[in-house]
Amino acid sequence: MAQADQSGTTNFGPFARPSVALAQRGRSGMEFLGSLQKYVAGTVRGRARAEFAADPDGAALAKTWADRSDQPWSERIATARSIAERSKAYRYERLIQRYVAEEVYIRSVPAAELRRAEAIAFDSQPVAPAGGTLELDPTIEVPAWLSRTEWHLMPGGWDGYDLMGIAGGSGIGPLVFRHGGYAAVEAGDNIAQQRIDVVRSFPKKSYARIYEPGCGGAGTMSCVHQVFPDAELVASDLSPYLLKKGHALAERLGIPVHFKQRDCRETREPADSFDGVIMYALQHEMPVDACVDSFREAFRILKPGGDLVMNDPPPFSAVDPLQAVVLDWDTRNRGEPFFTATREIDWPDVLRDIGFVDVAGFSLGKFGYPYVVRGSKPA
Amino acid sequence: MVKPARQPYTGDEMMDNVIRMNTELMSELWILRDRVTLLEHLLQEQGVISRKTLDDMVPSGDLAKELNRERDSLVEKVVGGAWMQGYSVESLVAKARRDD
Repeated sequence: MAQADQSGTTNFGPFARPSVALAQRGRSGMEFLGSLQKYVAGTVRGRARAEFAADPDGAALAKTWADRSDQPWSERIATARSIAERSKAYRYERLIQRYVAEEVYIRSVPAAELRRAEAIAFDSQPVAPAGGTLELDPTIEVPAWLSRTEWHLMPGGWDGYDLMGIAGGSGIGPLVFRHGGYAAVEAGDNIAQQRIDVVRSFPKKSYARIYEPGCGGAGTMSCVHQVFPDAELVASDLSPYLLKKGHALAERLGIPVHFKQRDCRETREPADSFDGVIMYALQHEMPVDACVDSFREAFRILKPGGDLVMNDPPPFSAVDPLQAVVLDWDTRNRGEPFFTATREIDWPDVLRDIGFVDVAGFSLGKFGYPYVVRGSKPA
Repeated sequence: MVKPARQPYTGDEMMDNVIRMNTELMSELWILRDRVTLLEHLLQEQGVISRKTLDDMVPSGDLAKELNRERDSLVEKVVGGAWMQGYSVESLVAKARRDD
């Protein structure tokens, strides 16, 4: 069986570990996309950034960008975009971003299909139980905004292809995104370390029980286990495919996680039952009202004194105008229908309104990502 | 299912298409180079032929003719395509005889 190098893992999103190596055409074609994405997101976008800064209109806009304004973000970003589009570098970089976003699936799905036998053999290998569980609920109602979207231009959405774990874990994650970044993740960012850094934003040294809504797999929980090895872990999502893959991976890694098919707005967990809640790259994939409801639910299940840590792309107010244009672009071009609406919100204000205290929002990376919002339920 | 439509990112849909074609060709070039490198590595590792032998080889005779013909044909197709004004049965037959 073709076996990928397990050390080359990226922990990128739900497809956290390579399990089957792709054949030569698929591998080298994906590696090419990684180099291309790395060059355009780094060098070409850097040129566009410099041109934006050198443009008198761009420089003037940047001076007042972070100020509170009554002008809607849609208008402010439209102004910034009109300046950005004066740059050929910006236009070319966006074209290639779209090209790569399509090609990662156009290439990785056939490449995964060629490895179907190996994937089945890998999945059927015996694994020593880690003590985790998987609880699916076939009666659960999946919102239309989730099921109808081809997220990130992924054909069929999250549950559309049974080997998407191979396409992502053996192709897209380690061969493309690891080098070229994606959306708010910059080229060359260490995305595995980013996840660890976010988990380390929890203010206490230890936690007994931690919950992750919208887990998308085992990627975040494996980092939580690394930082808080004694914590009991419960993770939920609406996608049965991602839950199954997450459960299989967690068991393979020897990490006991209890996966449940749940809506993050209604977890069915008892009130005051968790010491920590973590949300990783979840908010930008939901409408704003669903995000607010998910924070209310997190507040409900947290014990008094418990902590919430969430990470998502930064709000428009926390980045420069060109970066705001780049983030906004995903909404209309890369299958992220809620990216703009959820970047217009300053989530710390929302958390305070819900009742969280000691709320803070801060960036861990150079261009605003990861952007952590942290708050605690009053003791 | 909902998928956002492509935009004319350069401001010109045809220019976008040309860049996409160019990028696809660059990708195919890389995939071939990757495969040739693998082949050379395996041939050397298994003692069939060394990279030095390949580097030192000077094509001659029929092999040199074949390479010349293929190279000229590639240049004509890629560079000459933009200036090609027309074609006839005679020109196409002549081309076939040249390529043969």
